[in-house]
Amino acid sequence: MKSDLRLWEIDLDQSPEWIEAASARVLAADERPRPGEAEDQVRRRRLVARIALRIALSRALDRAPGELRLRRDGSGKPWLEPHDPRAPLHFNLSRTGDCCLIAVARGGPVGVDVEHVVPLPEADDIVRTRFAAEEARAILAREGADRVRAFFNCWTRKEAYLKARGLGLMAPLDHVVVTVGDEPGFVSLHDDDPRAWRLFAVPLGPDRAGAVAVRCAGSRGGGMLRPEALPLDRGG
Amino acid sequence: MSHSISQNRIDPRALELSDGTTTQLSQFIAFCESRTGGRLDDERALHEFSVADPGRFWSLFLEWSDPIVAGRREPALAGRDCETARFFPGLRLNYAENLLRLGPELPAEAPAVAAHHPFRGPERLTRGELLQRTQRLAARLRALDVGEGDRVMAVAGNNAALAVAGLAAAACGATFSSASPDMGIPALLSRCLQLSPKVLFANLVDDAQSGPAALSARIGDLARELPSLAAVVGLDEGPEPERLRVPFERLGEIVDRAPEGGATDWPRPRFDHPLFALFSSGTTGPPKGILHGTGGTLLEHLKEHRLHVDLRPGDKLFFHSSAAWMMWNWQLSALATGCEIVLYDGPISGPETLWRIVGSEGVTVFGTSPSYLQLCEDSRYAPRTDTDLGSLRTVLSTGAILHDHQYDWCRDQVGEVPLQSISGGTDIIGCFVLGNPNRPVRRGWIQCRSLAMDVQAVPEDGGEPTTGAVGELICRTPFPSRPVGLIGDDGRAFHDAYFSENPGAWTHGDLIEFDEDGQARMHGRSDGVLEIRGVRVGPADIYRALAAVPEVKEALAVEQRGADPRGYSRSVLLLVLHPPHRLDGRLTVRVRREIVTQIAATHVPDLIVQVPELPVTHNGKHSERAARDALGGTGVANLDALRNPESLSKIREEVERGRSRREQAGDGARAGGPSTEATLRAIWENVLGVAPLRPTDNFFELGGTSLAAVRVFQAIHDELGVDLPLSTLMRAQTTAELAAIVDTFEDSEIPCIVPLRAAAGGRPLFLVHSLTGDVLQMRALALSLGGDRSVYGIQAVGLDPVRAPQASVEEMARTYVDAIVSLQPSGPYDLAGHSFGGLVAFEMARQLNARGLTVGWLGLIDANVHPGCLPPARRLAFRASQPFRFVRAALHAPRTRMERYFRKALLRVVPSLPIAPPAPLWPLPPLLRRIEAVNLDAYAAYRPGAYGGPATLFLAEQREPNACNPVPVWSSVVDGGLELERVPGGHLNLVVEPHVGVLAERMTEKLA
Repeated sequence: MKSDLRLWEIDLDQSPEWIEAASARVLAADERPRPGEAEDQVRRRRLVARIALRIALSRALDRAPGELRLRRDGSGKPWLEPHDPRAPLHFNLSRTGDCCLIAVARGGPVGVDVEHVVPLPEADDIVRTRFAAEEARAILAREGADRVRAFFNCWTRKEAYLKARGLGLMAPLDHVVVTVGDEPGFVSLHDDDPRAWRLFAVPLGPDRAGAVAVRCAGSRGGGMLRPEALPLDRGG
Repeated sequence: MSHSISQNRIDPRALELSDGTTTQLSQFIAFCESRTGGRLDDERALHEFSVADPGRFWSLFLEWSDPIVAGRREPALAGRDCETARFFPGLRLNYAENLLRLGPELPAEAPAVAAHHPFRGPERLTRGELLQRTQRLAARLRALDVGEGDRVMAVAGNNAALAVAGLAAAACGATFSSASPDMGIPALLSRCLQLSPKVLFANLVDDAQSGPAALSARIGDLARELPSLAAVVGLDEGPEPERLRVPFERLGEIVDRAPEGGATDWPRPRFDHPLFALFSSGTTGPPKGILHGTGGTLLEHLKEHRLHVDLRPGDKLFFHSSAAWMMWNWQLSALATGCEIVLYDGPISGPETLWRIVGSEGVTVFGTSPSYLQLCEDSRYAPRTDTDLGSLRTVLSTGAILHDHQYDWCRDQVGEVPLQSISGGTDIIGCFVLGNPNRPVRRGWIQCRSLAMDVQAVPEDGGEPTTGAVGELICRTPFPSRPVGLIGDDGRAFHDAYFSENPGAWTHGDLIEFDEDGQARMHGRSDGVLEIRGVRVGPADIYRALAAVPEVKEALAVEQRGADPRGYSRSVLLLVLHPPHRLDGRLTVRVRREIVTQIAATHVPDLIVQVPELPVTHNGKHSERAARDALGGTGVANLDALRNPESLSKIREEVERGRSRREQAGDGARAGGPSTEATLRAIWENVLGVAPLRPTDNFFELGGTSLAAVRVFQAIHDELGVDLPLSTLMRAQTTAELAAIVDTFEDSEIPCIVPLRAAAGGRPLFLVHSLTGDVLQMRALALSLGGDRSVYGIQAVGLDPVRAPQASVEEMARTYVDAIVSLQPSGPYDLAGHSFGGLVAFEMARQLNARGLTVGWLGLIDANVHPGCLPPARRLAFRASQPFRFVRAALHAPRTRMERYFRKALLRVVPSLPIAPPAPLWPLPPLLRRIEAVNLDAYAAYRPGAYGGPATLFLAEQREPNACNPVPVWSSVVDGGLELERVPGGHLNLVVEPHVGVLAERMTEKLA
């Protein structure tokens, strides 16, 4: 089951020369940078993520990256055309700062989330008003760095699931209840059986938190999932 | 046409424009010299001559400008007193006839109006077409017995139809007044009830600028309150207002059905006959209705347009104004110069909005407000690089103080065209100080006094006019655009308003400063009237709106100025609350909302703070002036006049605290956009780490993530007291859009309609929630559907934690039908629901039909029914054959809370049967459990009645082993024919991967 799930890590800070060459090689005409777009760091990183996604998908499908037809639905989630509901390739991308994770799965929908672990002024309010009560209790029982970590564990796990569902912002956050400690797991879901899902924590050091959720029938649990570095020089 | 003038003090006769002609001002100076035989060295000499003998000046101007008039031209001026003197008492004229005149220089095919709209291409009318429409509408108005002495009101955007309405009313000799659709009903009523209009013109199509309730409904509400009305005329094709007591017509039909041709046999009323009614908010009481005369308005505007702005045939004037502002009347009058007027009826969605019209139209004279220029500057927008400004020769600005740095911005980003600040008011439908086409503009200064107006600055405590110091603006000469009176006034209110402070002179209520050269700077209002981002706001309007907030004990609205280094002013609302209330975010939002809904969004003060008490004078009146001076940091002139001078320090403290709170949030002291928008922008800048943002920047394009969204909505909750669902971001992705939602947000309202897929084309499809009340389960289906239609989910009301779930299917359906009708006003409606949602969709279809609305398509997705719904014979057979079946059966997989229901059902049917509770399939979050429990009861109680239309039932191939067959029930109630479609999967998973694709395919076929 696990071999069907690949998790790639990409460093988004690539040289302008690389971006220029890779854009021409990999991206569709309407995805290529507009003049001046690559000057701004935020846009440059977005561009590298776009290139990396095509490279990752091209590896999974064994096709040239330029051949893939990617579209975005109303919520901005990209999907592959032709959209074959019977044998879909599921994928998801998340990035924060210079770090990008791409998850690709064949068995079922997959979602990934990565966040920078920093204390947020609103975090406690968010926990109190938007997380489920049991999550709030578990997070607010901790102090200092532990509390910050628990917040991001919880956040990335929820988000990974919601992204797998294609829900993103649409779902109230307390519709998905997860564990907040080191051991990732679903407590309850609003629209599915938690046992049909696997939830992984992604070890990315003390500064980042990451999680992957994937639906795969008959499987249980989760654990740690270490990302592989995506080879950026090939696949073109 | 650009002027080649760069020096002071040149012989006007030597002045030439680049095309070889001279300015009309130079021509008029030469004309005056030839008629008087005296020498006028320059425009200053002309001004001295004009104020020394205003009668002679206006007589010469009438001769030179040559409007179409009848009657005696002499005397030009009867009397010398500013308050009582009358101009041209023997003259008669028609305003519309003069604006629409044709001639060798003004051919019928010359362009007259270019009306722009954000969603449609421009509407263009030639002078001939505008004349013909006016003739036809005027003929219809006269058939409705509208004539001299009658009043006509319009609630409209600044579009071509409004221009026709105003001209036709004037053509008939009626008095016309226009208001803007974004005004609240109380504000519109307070104007209409004073005016008693015979005809009400109105736009009915709801554009983004309009207020909270549907425009057509508000026009209906307004019309029903007006006993004077004889007809309502729709200016567009929007829905006819309901329950009107008077006939309804449409401008389009009137203009189309009238016979060819038409006549200009219009009456020519006397010079002082009221042409326009304008309304001005004071510090107390309802808005003042100011009546402006036909001749005064036309002559003053001709003077300003031709001599001060140099408008002539071939020019294109674009002065951006709403219909409620006097600049609407001002720009309309420019037709009399033979120029074309460019209109814009839409919101300012960004700094480029107006400049692009200037560029695409080749506008020669563009007029706007300092706040729009500030928005452009704050957004770092550069018109000269964004659009072609090659035709532009002058930029005008009015409505508020134009600051020095804005001249620099205009020079750098617009170009070397004069930026002329002009200033006057509603009260005089014109300007006291304005531009001079013969001289260069000096940064920060208004160029000159209006001709034939002896405008002076006098010290506020009395004394002789001064230069080099700020004083009260007065005008000592009589002028033709002095109002002919106030509505409902015997002259006393008129005297008190303008002539009581400085006998023999008009006192305007503005602070002004002149230099030796006659150039001027404005310094704000001298009375309590506020200027909020260029809009004059009477505190009385605000106080009236606050009557709807019982927590508020007293309120004082004041302008704070001077403290900011860049010269901004801000409006501050001070509130004293009844104990124990505190001004928290929620109450602030309610205060804002009352002001938005009762007056307009433009009237929301920049800062709202709670204070323990207001400054009170010894005779018990609140002292706006003391509060203003205290906030301005200039020191209060007369502390002894106050009963409680100690109140001021507390006010200063609270305002400072409120200000710094907002500035910490990154607000700065910007003047652009409503405060809610600025607050939101500050929140976004803070969370996204990008600054400065524009109101039109898209959240997702700025790199907004889900976490950023949650932080933003948490901050909105904390600062504005509004709890919006995150999905709001799906329909509002800019601060401008989000601000509109926040400002009209009802307490604890969760919109039950959630967009699942946004698309451009086709009728929308509505998908109803299932048992848990949560539509998000339907998202996969929505996204997989073919076609290009929008898909909306309908979610249960009880998803909002503070509102109880609705307990019956009928009640839910009623709420949802209301919601979808407000989104899509007319049928046919396409509906579908999964499981329990199918029952609700079915009931909605019945209720839509009962309301006379058609249903296009009804889809029931594995909608099981309660066994009690089975026809009696089948129910018996069902029971006999399957005694245990429905126990685990039902509509949905069993869950913990179903136990209660099953127990009840068991007791009802087979009371003695012992049964273990079914095991839960999966745990459910608490909020959804609450709704599910209620929905289960609703499910059990609902008995579908007959439905006249057809329906499609999608039946899961894998039947729940113990579920009853719903087909007999549905076929017995669906009279229009039940179509059956079998789809792969089971009851629960046919809407998710991997089965959803097939279901979506089948639904797409059926919907096509």
